[in-house]
Amino acid sequence: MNWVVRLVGVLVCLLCGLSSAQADVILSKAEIDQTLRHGPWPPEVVLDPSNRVSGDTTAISLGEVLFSDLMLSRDRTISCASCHDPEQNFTDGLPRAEGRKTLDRNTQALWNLAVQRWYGWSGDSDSLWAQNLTPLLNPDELGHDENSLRAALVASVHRPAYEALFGEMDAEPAVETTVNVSKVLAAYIETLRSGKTSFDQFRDALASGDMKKAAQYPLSAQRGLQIFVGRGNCAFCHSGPAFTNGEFHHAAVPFFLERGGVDPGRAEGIDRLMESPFTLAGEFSDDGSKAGAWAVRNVRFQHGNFGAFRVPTLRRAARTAPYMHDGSLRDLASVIQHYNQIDMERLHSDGEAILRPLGLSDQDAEDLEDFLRTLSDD
Amino acid sequence: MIARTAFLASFALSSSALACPTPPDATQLIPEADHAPAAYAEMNTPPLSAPFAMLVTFCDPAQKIEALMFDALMPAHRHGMNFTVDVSKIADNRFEVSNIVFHMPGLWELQFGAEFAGRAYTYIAEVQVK
Repeated sequence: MNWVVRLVGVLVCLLCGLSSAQADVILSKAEIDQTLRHGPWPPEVVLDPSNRVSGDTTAISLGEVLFSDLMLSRDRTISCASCHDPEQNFTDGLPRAEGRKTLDRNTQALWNLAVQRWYGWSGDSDSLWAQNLTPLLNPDELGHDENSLRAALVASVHRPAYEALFGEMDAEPAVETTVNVSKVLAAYIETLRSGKTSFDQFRDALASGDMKKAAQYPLSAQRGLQIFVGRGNCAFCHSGPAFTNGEFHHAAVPFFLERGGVDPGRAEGIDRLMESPFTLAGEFSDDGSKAGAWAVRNVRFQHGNFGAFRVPTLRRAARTAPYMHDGSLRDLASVIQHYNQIDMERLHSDGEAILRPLGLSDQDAEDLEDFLRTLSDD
Repeated sequence: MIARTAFLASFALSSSALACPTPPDATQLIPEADHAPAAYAEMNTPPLSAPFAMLVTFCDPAQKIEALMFDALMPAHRHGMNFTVDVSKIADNRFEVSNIVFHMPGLWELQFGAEFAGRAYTYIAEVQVK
């Protein structure tokens, strides 16, 4: 009899414990299902088939050194790291990038860039190595041309490591050298991966049914997550484990430029993509099957592309202020208020019907910010 | 929304679609004309913002469909796909539509256009993307 009483007692305690833990997970079944779609994290490491030195340790080491080497700028005054500062989460903390002059867009951080569909705010490139060509060859950024970059590399201490990867440089065309340098840089940059955050711990606990562990996730973050996947409509675009759908949307941020004119965003990005010889459909891709080329071949130009910009990942976003393509919003609270009080006049009248003022209270906004911060605490 | 559902249901009931030997997991295509051949699409659960393919089959062997057009849109968001698709004929009355990308979660309306002997049949279907 005694053991029956003890067993009942143990069961009651277990049930009490379970009930107490569950009480601290406030998400509905539907919200839990939505939460699970934002993981698991980190994703499996996938090498870039269009880059033959992707994953190569020699290339990664050389890429890391070149990333901070002033020889990558024509006048030897700046490097990749000048804007993408490793000490500042590979961005610069400025509203707009400072190259040889102030550029029109915010410097994006470099986390989790391996094998995405598009790169840059307007998706000018369909591979990481092709994206690296933009700053290398832009007169307002690193300012090289193919010949000057080749000459700089030939004269540098990096020539032996480069030749170990790609062979003798003597007969190599300058364009080949330039693309190879961009591929070495890509081999390094694609190793920059963010880690597991407290959100991921929460998500994994939900996935395994460990409600006691899940209940350790702060209630304010859970309330913010409910807004994120619910009435905030954030997860429409910030979807999946990386919190981005990798595509382009109009976020009602003004696209007028200080110097006059406008930033056409994705509309210009598609134009550049179509003109570029450096796409996954081109001869510089090392993937003989051209498996990734479907995107550039099938991308569709639409009126709504004008003023649309790529949806950024939210992982480590709390560490990479300021925000939006022009860096016009100084902190996460400002971003939340931007969407909370969104100016519908700034959206295309015939464009997407997704954004609308959210009507968040001050507490809601704080909760949403608390949630966003849990994507950056790895 | 109710009117829209009733509209779709009326098409389904009035068409020859019910006669089609549709596989259990296939999506019935709803024709806009009563005399259109029954048709269905077979696909795995559409992934979010990643390319996938579907097979489209027209059931009436007497009507050889010559070409198939495909598009999709999100009625609630007023936008379509960011990519065109590739369509290839893989057998009589059987087509593969590839590189379909639904870049947002929610209800997508699929639109099909089939050409046969100078005539065009249109069909619609719906799919929920998570």
